[in-house]
Amino acid sequence: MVTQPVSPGGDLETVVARARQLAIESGELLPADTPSYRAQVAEDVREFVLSIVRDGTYAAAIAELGRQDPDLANQ
Amino acid sequence: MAVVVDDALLLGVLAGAAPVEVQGTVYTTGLWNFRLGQALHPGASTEALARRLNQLAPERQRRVLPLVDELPPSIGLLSMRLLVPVIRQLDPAARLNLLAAEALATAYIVGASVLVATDAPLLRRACEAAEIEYSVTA
Repeated sequence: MVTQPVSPGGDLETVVARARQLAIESGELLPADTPSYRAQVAEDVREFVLSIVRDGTYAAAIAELGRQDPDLANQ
Repeated sequence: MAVVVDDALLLGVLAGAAPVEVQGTVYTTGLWNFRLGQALHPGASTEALARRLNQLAPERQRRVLPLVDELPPSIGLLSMRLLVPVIRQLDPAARLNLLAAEALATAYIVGASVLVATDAPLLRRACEAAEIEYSVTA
């Protein structure tokens, strides 16, 4: 996957640059050499997660949450 | 190289069960992280998912739920202190809800692409307008 350069314009560009600098200073912007997350879960837990994602149960759940709260809805 | 993932993909990453290989530094958003917890936790979970969770033995339930209780430090999450000023500058004509606005603002600040399990057309169009790579896994 290739990350595209982000070039917002005007005030947005200024605000994004400021936020990025603050994120670096606060440590919220992770260093580029941050090791990738490696899951360490039991096989049955992994299979449960796979099953609810693959069979649409998780998608149905978030759709229901979105109907209850529009700010949690996929737009 | 960084990628902002939605809650379904975050769950897959946390469980080592993502449908695609998620490369680079992984970020998510506060609301996607919150929605994942809302979906999975008993009492907060939706009917369909609650049924599936209830089919698990209590001992297995206790091993599933900690997955979403604490985000690992190697998965990025930006605070609202950083995000709000950027969200306020987003084009109001895009009519993004907070979930989508937070994702877009995170991608701007991190310089990341957005990877989701379920297409979100308004977020997709906002990413296209911002020249931020947006991909759907399903």
